[in-house]
Amino acid sequence: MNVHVKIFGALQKPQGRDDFSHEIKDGATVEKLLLDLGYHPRHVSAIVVELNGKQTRHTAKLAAGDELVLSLAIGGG
Amino acid sequence: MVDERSGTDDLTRYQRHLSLDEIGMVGHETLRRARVAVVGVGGLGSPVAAYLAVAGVGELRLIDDDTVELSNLNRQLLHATSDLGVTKTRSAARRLNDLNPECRLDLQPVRLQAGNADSLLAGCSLVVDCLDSFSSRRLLGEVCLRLKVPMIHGAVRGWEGRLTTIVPGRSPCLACWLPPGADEQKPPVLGVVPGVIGALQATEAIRCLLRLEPLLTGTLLLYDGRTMMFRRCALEHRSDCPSCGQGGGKPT
Repeated sequence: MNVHVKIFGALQKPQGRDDFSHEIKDGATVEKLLLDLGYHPRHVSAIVVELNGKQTRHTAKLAAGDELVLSLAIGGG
Repeated sequence: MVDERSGTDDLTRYQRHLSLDEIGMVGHETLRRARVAVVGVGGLGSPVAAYLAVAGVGELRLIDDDTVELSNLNRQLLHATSDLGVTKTRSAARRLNDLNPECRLDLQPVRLQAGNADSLLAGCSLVVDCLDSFSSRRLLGEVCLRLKVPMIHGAVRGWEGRLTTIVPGRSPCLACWLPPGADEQKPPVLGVVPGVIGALQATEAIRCLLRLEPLLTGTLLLYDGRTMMFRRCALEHRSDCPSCGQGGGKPT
């Protein structure tokens, strides 16, 4: 299935892309997608994921046509 | 009332916002009676405290145990070169007293910790999270939840910033959505970014005190200064949230 991914801000862009479609196995989770995009397993937990306009957990299952926006958790002040 | 230092009456100071429908004398009194805790008086805390002081908020409780360092001065506008080595609360008080001597300042030059957090925040009508680490933010979020005090969260890194408002019992809490990010010792930051986010936090604080709806509850507002993009992302309550999922702040 295909999902659409956008990168917001300074989060590393997979293959330099910040707006792209990505093919992944049916029923894959958000975490599987993040790993599939090449993010290091140690850094995956620090990625904020917006799925179809709502923040979601990494255990959420994806469906064809889903739109995701990924950004880095930030804590500076 | 005449402000002895400026020689003007207090209404002149606030003239330009008293004519706003949402403020007027009723809103002015509401702001004057408010006591707001600004937790962290650095990049975010500087614009937050400055704008709340000049807006006529009655009392600001400034909580920060740091002293002013040279590397702070690209962004922390309440502090200046002549303040190097001075506690940030004291340095901030110098500027804030000059900006608006009518604003009472309660200086707390201590680090927020589990053992002192309840007493530090007691009696505040609103808390503004201007901290600089995930761990301290999580603690602050939990205490605000327990004390049922609204909190305005803001954070910055590099060109990016974000904010949201947490009203216990009504909105997702910080632990519902904030990932377990690792604290960085000296994250990069463009000085103007905490200015943008801090100004938005101050705006939201005034809206919260004046009960202007809709607040930024259940919404994360993201800003990327490099591309000048804003986004809004909906936040949802987590039924198994370790902080609010067992009762307490859980929406009913």
